[in-house]
This record gives sequence, C-alpha cells and structure tokens, in this order.
Amino acid sequence: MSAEKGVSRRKFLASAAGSAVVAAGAGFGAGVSFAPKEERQIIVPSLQMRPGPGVSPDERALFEAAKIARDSPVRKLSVLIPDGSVPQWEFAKEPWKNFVGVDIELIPTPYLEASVKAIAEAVSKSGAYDIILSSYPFTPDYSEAGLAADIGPLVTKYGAGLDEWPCAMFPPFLKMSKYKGSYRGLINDGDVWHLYLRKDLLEDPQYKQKFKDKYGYALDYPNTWKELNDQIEFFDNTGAGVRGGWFFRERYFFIFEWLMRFVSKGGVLFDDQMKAKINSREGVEALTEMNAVNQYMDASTVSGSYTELYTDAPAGKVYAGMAWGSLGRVLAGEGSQVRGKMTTAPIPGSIVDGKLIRAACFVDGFGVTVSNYSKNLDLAYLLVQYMQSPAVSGKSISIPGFLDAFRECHLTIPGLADTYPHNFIPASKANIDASIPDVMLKGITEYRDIANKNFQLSASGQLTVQDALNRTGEEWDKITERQGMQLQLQQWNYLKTAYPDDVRALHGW
Amino acid sequence: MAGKSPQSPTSNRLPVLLITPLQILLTFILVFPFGLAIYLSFTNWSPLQGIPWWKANLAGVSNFVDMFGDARLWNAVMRTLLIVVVSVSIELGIGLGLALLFFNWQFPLKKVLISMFLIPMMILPIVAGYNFYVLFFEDGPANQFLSFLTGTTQKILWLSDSNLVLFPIMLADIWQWTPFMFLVFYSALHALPAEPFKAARVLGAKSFQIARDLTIPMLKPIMTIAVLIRSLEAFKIFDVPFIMTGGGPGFASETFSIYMMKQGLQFWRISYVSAIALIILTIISVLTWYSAQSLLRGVQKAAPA
Repeated sequence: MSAEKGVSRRKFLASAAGSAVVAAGAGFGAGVSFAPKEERQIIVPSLQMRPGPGVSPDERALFEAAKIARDSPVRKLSVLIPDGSVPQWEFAKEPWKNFVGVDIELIPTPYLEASVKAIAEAVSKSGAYDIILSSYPFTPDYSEAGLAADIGPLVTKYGAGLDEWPCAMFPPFLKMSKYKGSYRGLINDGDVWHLYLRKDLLEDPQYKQKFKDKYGYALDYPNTWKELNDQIEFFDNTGAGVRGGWFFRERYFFIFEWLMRFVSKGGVLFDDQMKAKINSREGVEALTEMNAVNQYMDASTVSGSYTELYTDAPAGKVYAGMAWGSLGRVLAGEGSQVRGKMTTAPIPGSIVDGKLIRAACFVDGFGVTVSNYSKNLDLAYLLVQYMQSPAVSGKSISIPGFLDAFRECHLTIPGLADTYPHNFIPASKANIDASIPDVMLKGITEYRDIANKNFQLSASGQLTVQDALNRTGEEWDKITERQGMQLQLQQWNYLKTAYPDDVRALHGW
Repeated sequence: MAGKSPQSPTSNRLPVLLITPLQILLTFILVFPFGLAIYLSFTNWSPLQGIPWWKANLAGVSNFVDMFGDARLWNAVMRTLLIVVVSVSIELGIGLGLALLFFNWQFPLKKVLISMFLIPMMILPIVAGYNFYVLFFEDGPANQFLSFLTGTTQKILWLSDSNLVLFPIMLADIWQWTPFMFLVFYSALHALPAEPFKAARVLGAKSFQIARDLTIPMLKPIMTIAVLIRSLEAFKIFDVPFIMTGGGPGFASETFSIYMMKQGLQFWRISYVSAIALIILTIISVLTWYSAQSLLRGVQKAAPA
C-alpha cells in the first residue's frame, strides 16, 4: 500500500477539508456546499432552508469520490458534452481535481452529433467516455444499445437527493430521467419550450383596440392555440413592421409544436396495442391549425433552423417565437434589439370538456448518462451526482449556455430572472408543470424524421393533412414493429406517467 | 543475369514477397469490409440491439425484399440520377466550351483567368454548400439580384419550395465541378497531335468543322473518363444538399447519400443499409462498365485504322 493510500480517514478528511477551503478561496466555492454561507446564499438561497444537519449531495459525492479515487488507478474522467454546455461544466474541473484527485476531460461535440458518437461508443465499447451528456430522448437508444448504465442503485447508495425538498428536481424531469422506470439519464437541463412575445406590441393600446375590433376579444397572453393563431395573423398584417411569428417548420423541430397542440386537444400518440393514433381528429386539427399560420411567417422557418430564429427574434423581426430558455437569454442579452421589449408566456392550450389543457414540450433537454464501459462506474456516477446537486447545478445553470433550470430552487436564484425576458420565471414554472415528453422511444430519430418530413409536405400543400398523418402513422407502426412492439409498449406505458396531471386525468391514465 | 535463369526460384519468390504486404493490407481494407457488408445484409443487426454484430440474428433476404418496396429509397436514387444527368451534362458542355475557347483564343490575363476558374474546385463542398445556402436564402443575393433586374421585390423560395429546391443544389454542383471538366479538357487539348489540325486548315476546314470532326472525336476517350469520374462523384453528392436543405423540404432534395446516412447513422439500420449498398454497387458497376464499354467501342470505331 502506498503512503498516499495509507492515510487514515481522519487525515484524509482533514486534507480534504483543506482542499475545499483552498478551492473556495480560489473562487469556486460560490457554488458548492463547502463555501462560506454568504457566498452560497448568492447562488442557492433555498439551501439555507434545508432542515437537519446532514451533508448535501455534492458533499457526499466529493467525499465518496475521493475515497474511491484513493484505491483506483483512474486519474481522468472523460465527458462527451455538447459544445454549448462546456462553460457550464468547466468551472467544476478545478475543485473536483483538487478534492478528488481526478481530472475531468470535457470532449465537446456539436449537440446534434452527440448521439451518433454515443452509439458508436456502444458498438466499440472503448471506454472513451465515462459520461455522456446528450438529448434525453436518446436514453432508450443508449439503454437498449447497452451503453447507459442503470444508475438507480447508485442514486440510492450515494444519496443523490434528486427529490429532496426544497431543491427537488421538477417531477416531470425526474420521470423523464428514467427509461422503463429506471434511472438511465439524469436530466441536467430543463429545456421545456416557452412562448416569447413582443411585450411592447402586446400592450400597445392602439393594437389592443384594433385587435378587439377585429376578433371580438381582448388582446392578452394567448391562452389557447386559436388565440395565438389570431395574434400571429394580426401582427403580420397590422403594419407593426414584424412577421407574425417564427415557429419551427423545418427538418428537426417541426413535430414539437404539433405534439403540443395535439396533446392539448386530447390526442394520444399510441393506443394500448402500440398502434399509432396520430391521424385522429386531434391530429388533423393540430396540423391544420399550424398550416393556417404558415403564410404569416418567413420562409426561413422551413429552410432554416433555430439559428435563424435566434437571429430574427432578437433583431425585432417577429412578434412571437417559441423555443428553449436559451432564446430568452438571447432576447434579453446585450446584443438584442428587443431587450426589455419581450415577455414570456405559458405555452397555449386547448379547451377540452370545458377545461383548459396545456402541454409544453420538453425538447432535447440534456440528460447525463453514465457509460457501462466507464473505467470506474461509481466514480463516474459520483461526478454526475456532484454536477446534478442543487449547489453545483445552481452555479452551472447561472452560467450562459445550453443548460437551463431543472430544480425548483434554480428559479429562485437571485438575479437569474434579470437574464431573461419579462415574466420568465412564472411562465417557466407553468410550462414545466405542463411539460410533456418527446416521443421518447427506442428509434426516436426515425419516428421524428418521418413525421417532420410528412408534416413539411402538408405545409407545402403536396400532401393533405390527413394523408400526411396517415402516412406518418403507417411508418410509425413499421418502426414500432421493427424495434419490438412489446419493448416499445412497455416504455410507452411508462411515458404516460410523465404527462401532466390534467392530461392523465383526461385519459384515465 | 549471370548464373541465374529468369525462372529461378529466387526470382519467382521475390515479387511474391514484395507484393505480400500490399495484398495483406488490401485484404483487410477491401475484402474484410466487403465480406462484412455481405454478412450484415443477411442479418437484422442494429447497434441499438446491444449485441455484437457477429451475434446478429440471420434475417434471410428480408432486407433485400424490403428495399424493393421502399419508395423513399428509389425516389432518392432517381432524384440523384436526375442531379447527375443534368449537372454533369452542363459541366461537360461548359467545361468543353471554355477549354476550346481558352485553347484557341489568345487574350491578356489568360493565365490569371485559368487560375481563377480553378478556385471553386478547391473549395470544400461543405463551404460551397453554405455559400449557396446564403446565396439562395429568401432575402439572399439571388433574390436581390432578380429584384434588381425585374424592378419588383422577388421572394422566390428556392430552398423551401419542393419544385425549385433541386435548382440551387445543381447550380452549386455545376459551379464547383465545371472547373474540373475545364481542366481535364484544356490539358487534353494541349496533348493532341498538331498535324491533323494543320492538315485540316491547309484543306480549308473552318474552325467549327475542325472542332466537330477532329477535336471532339479525338477528345472522346478523355471525355468518357471525365464523364464517368464526375458521374460517379456526383452520384455520391452529400455535403451540398445536406448543408443547404438537409434533404428537405419533405423529401424533395433527399439524395441517395443523405438517405443512406439517415438510415445508417441516424436510424441505425446497419443491415438494411448494407443490403442497399450491395445492390446499388452492383447496379452502378454494371451501368458504369456498360457505359464505358459502349463509349470506348465508339471511340475505337472512330479511330483511324
């Protein structure tokens, strides 16, 4: 046994505490539990309310990781990470290294490529990545490919505190962290979609009067999709110098607005035999409503992608747009020409049986997967627990990047609201409460792709709405059959539990 | 040669020894992947199954049966062939025309112009794709130019109209690869013997007649090769349409390579893709061989005895 390995527990804890003080002194401490209280208050004030004296998940992760690292030859953990999230993990490298003695290597990748690299790793089993940060809907693919470790036992063993008051993960995100009921990809990014509107136009008395004269009701935050459609039409034609909206009609994200409209109308993706039900009345209505407003939007909604939205909206070219929290930061950022002129709204819904049902899609939020081929599974998991903890994740999501709030206390971080447009926090809470999962099944890309393609054909008039949905449904059935009907049904039955209470009540789930 | 006959064992072994490393290398880089593709095409393996490929379940000929009913695949193949025929024909025409012009006409800055013509060919296809994406955007220079010419605002949806989307893609291909044709023909013209041309001029032939009856027939072998190379390359077109449209809107610009990439690297249908690759390889090989043979036969017939 080496001298280093032979240190007593007391000596180890003393040196570990010393490292923590050094780390805190170096400025890191603002985000972790070893830091002085005053500094911690800045980041996660709600942590001060935690009852009892026990250590926090990040403390547990550091101590346990340091213990494991003493006896492990592993000196580096490799993390495959979407490039836009690097700064949000980068700050943790130094304290982790100081305390645990293990380096963190961040391997950036364009976020749409992360899943390809992950599956390649599932085939090669090279151990190139200990941790993979990528879109959560790929968790079924990673799990079935043998890549995603079942970290449920580790969550319990090391006390991740995922649902601990007062900084629990939002319940829908906890559900979406699981595949068929077991933890396979912890949500590290609350990427639910929000609706952004031009507040200056929405509140303009002249426009309010004109709108009421034309549509017969007051111009306000749209509660229903019909009201949003009216506003898009109105502002495209009212001489305000803006297009009605920028809503995805392109190759990757077209499906999500349809999914929100569809679910809010009472639509169900699959029946109990896992046959696609998307060509129902609700499906037709949803796509028809979407196509009706295409004329009030720029062609870049078809040929471009989110980069065009992230350019046009802050340039003040559109009245409304719908996307992730990161768009809010851009709109409220220094380079935005509409800074201070935007507001955030809950995603609209539909009236079903006299009740307003909302469904806000959780689109491509990042989940953290621990690779089964990691050189040290427990150590890799503990880094995930550390990054996932209230204190560290609070600091992480405060840094500009892809990652958005995913714990309740994140929304109370002082100063956070100032980095977003007006009304972001209440709207964000409403949207998270109403969040619905993606088509989170094995073979997700194929399900999405065929829907996006056929929906585009309906938007351009080359297919009727009914034909587009019929064709998509037929293709979905083939994909389901190919991937394994029972396997998909098992996950679909689990996914139903991740839907909002209103939706589940509607269907008796 | 003293002391050893040409048939001695040593002289027989040496070439074998020399080429053995190359043969081993070729076995690994050609034969093994090809054999693997054949094996996979008869299985239903996907990385999402979580089993290694050598443990895949055999699926008989189901992948081959499936592909013949896959309308999306054959539409992608036909769309790609359309791009090949149109683009390569235009590249051939413009490349040959420019080569003849530059060969026969002396003017200032000729060498500078030749160098400039070659620039598109040296640009990465992915960059060319992005440039043309920007060019043909709704508010891009293409529409601005048309607006200037017509005096009215033009908002032609080059990239989002299914009926128009192949035009900018083919234009990008033509822009990028016409210089290749030009370079090949310009070089070939310099290599042609001078005597037949001198004789033709002495006999009073006009420039057009010389081009039609001498230059083009003599260039036919090189034209055959150039068209074959470009056609095979154009059939693999990926970067430009992927950057410009991603294969959309709908399936309108989904080329064969984009289709294969999606099936293989996004949907992970590796066995299915292997089956398609084998069939397409066979079809293309037969077509290429037949085209080359028929064109070369024509050249041999035309050549003086």
